[in-house]
Amino acid sequence: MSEDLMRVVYVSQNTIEGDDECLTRQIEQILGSARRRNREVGITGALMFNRGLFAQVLEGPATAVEETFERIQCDLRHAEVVMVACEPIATRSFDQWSMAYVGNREQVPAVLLEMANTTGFDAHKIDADAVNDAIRTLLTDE
Amino acid sequence: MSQPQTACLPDTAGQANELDVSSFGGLTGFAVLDQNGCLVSANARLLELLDDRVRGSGKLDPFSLELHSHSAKELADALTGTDNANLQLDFSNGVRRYLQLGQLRASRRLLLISATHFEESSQADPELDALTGLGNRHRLQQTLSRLESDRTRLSAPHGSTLSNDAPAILLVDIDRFKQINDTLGYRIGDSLLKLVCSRLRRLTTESDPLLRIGGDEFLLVLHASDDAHNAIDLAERIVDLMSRPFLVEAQQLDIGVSIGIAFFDEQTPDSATLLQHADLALQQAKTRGRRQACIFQPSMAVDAQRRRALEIDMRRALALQQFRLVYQPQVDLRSGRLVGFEALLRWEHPVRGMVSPAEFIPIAEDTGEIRRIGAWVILQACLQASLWPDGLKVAVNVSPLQFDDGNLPEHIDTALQQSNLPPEQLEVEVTEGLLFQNPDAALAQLSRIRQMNVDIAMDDFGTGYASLSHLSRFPFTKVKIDQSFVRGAVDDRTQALVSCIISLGSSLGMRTLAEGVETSEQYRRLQESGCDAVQGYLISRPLEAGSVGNFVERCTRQIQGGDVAA
Ligand SMILES: Cc1cc2nc3c(=O)[nH]c(=O)nc-3n(C[C@H](O)[C@H](O)[C@H](O)COP(=O)(O)O)c2cc1C
Repeated sequence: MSEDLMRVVYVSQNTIEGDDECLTRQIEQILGSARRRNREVGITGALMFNRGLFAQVLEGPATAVEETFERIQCDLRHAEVVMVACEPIATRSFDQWSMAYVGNREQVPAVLLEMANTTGFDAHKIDADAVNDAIRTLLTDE
Repeated sequence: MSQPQTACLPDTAGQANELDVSSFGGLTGFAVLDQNGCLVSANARLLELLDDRVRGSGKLDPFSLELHSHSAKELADALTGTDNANLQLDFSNGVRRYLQLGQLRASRRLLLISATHFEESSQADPELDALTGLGNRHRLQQTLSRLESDRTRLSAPHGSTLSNDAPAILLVDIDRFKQINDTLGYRIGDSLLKLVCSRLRRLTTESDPLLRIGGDEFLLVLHASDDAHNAIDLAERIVDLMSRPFLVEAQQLDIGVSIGIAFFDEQTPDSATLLQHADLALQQAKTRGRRQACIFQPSMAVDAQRRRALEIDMRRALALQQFRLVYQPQVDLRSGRLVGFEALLRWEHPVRGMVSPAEFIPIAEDTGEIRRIGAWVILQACLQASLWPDGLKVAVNVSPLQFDDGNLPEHIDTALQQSNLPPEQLEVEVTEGLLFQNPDAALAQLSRIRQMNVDIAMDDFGTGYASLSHLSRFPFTKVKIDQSFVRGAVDDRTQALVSCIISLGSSLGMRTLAEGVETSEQYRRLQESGCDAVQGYLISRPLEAGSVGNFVERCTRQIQGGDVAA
């Protein structure tokens, strides 16, 4: 794949209503189609869900990222999308994962907790690398 | 493609019912294809244009034509599909060909290949927008007429169409689209439009006509089955979805849409009116701050009608001498002396009577008429003030729009020369809004005006967004404290604020004047706070130009006995 790699990191609010079971089912459904479709177009990344907030890293060829991001944008299961980063990258951080998942956990890194606790947070204050690395740390700790 | 390889060479043509294109001359390559992509017949030009790559297999195989991968894929898609296609074929060796695929009958397709673009006109539907594939402005009339005939057909015998199930149209306008086009270029703008269109399509059904009727304007028709709630819900969903970020060429784009909704109810005589209604609702959505939907209300049409009439009358008002200036006295709080007047514009229309500046100034600003009116005000005020005794000052309000052409200092200079009014007797009042719209141009012009020895006052201080840094950066000689801080019951906090503005002004070397003084209590309080001057009904209502002389005389007589206000 010769096309330039890019990365998108965003945070959004969960709008899925219903009990935990319903939420789990929806997230499984999201991950299911994410993993299937991302594999097809060469996208890797990670999705974090905590306290009503999603944080996602999408990386891959620019066109594929754009198309996937557009599809995700139109998904009414979340809203208030705030872009944290949208930039070219040299290498992938999640090249082993078509969509890694970090769910409700005890050990949530400070940077994400901060995001989750702030309503109407300022995206410019969030460091994309910090989000990226925090999610990665969680994954490798597993 | 894994179809069985049938032996199918161009010369199998000529059978009954088979179109034989092998003898077709000219510059275009022709072929008839069967459902497997095999050439049933072809002319020599076709083989030539494809560099003989199909002669061996007799088949149009996208992956053995030595095409660039994107072309191979497009061609494969076109061949598997059944739609008519119009493609550009890029070969690995850099050669480019153009291809058209059309249906002949069930199992036969006609293939055309050319070295040059096929005539656009033979393909492009003039009623379709080339970018989005939606109907365009030319399709609008047809769409609207259909809506009208549907209504006639469906309306109940007694004409009792409830507005709840009347068809609706949504006019969707992209906020700030021009800005994106201008700063990021047409290519990104075009990609964005396509995405906007696909998001719109995602929320609507294929049977709801969707048109692109302007550069950044879409029209959606919802048929009678949809009730009012549906239209509003949908509009809200559209506003939500369009407010979400777009990603185009690795750039994040944030737009938003404003939507006007109008129902084709009984009160709407025809579809042209319906469109106007949607447009009025759209304007309303924009003035309310964009990123929202507004439903048409009859009052909007009444307002628009009144506004249009007012606009027409206003264009004539100067020539018909319906404008005049009245003058509200300003008094120094230490000496009690009359120091000057603020010139206020009045419009008396023979039929309408007095039209409030609050109503006509915004319209004059919208139409640009304010420039002519503003110039007249400056000259008129200078001429009349030049007749006043004792070097009394005249304060003139200037709209931010009068700074637009950069020549305000020259206009003022001309007025001063024509009237022979000494510049130090003129004061220009500007509002906080000016400091935000184009601060650099405003600063440059205000500095030039100040250099001419004309005073500059900041009007309505404390009501807008002006900050302390504005006060120090701009060459103001006076701060006018807005009447909302002076009139009515003044609590301790307001009083503290007023004191603060006064000491702030004086520490920056500016004079302070309080507006709207109505009682001697207010007068005394301002006097104690160290305010320099006041104006308001306590001193006098605004005076006709002809009464100024008398008033000045009375003041001079009174002053010997004490305060004007006493
Ligand atoms: C927070 C969130 C993250 C998502 N991430 C992805 C993703 O990485 N890739 C993807 O294809 N779809 C993702 N989706 C799902 C898409 O919005 C969409 O539902 C899906 O791509 C539809 O695919 P399908 O119709 O093939 O199942 C995500 C949705 C949400 C709400």
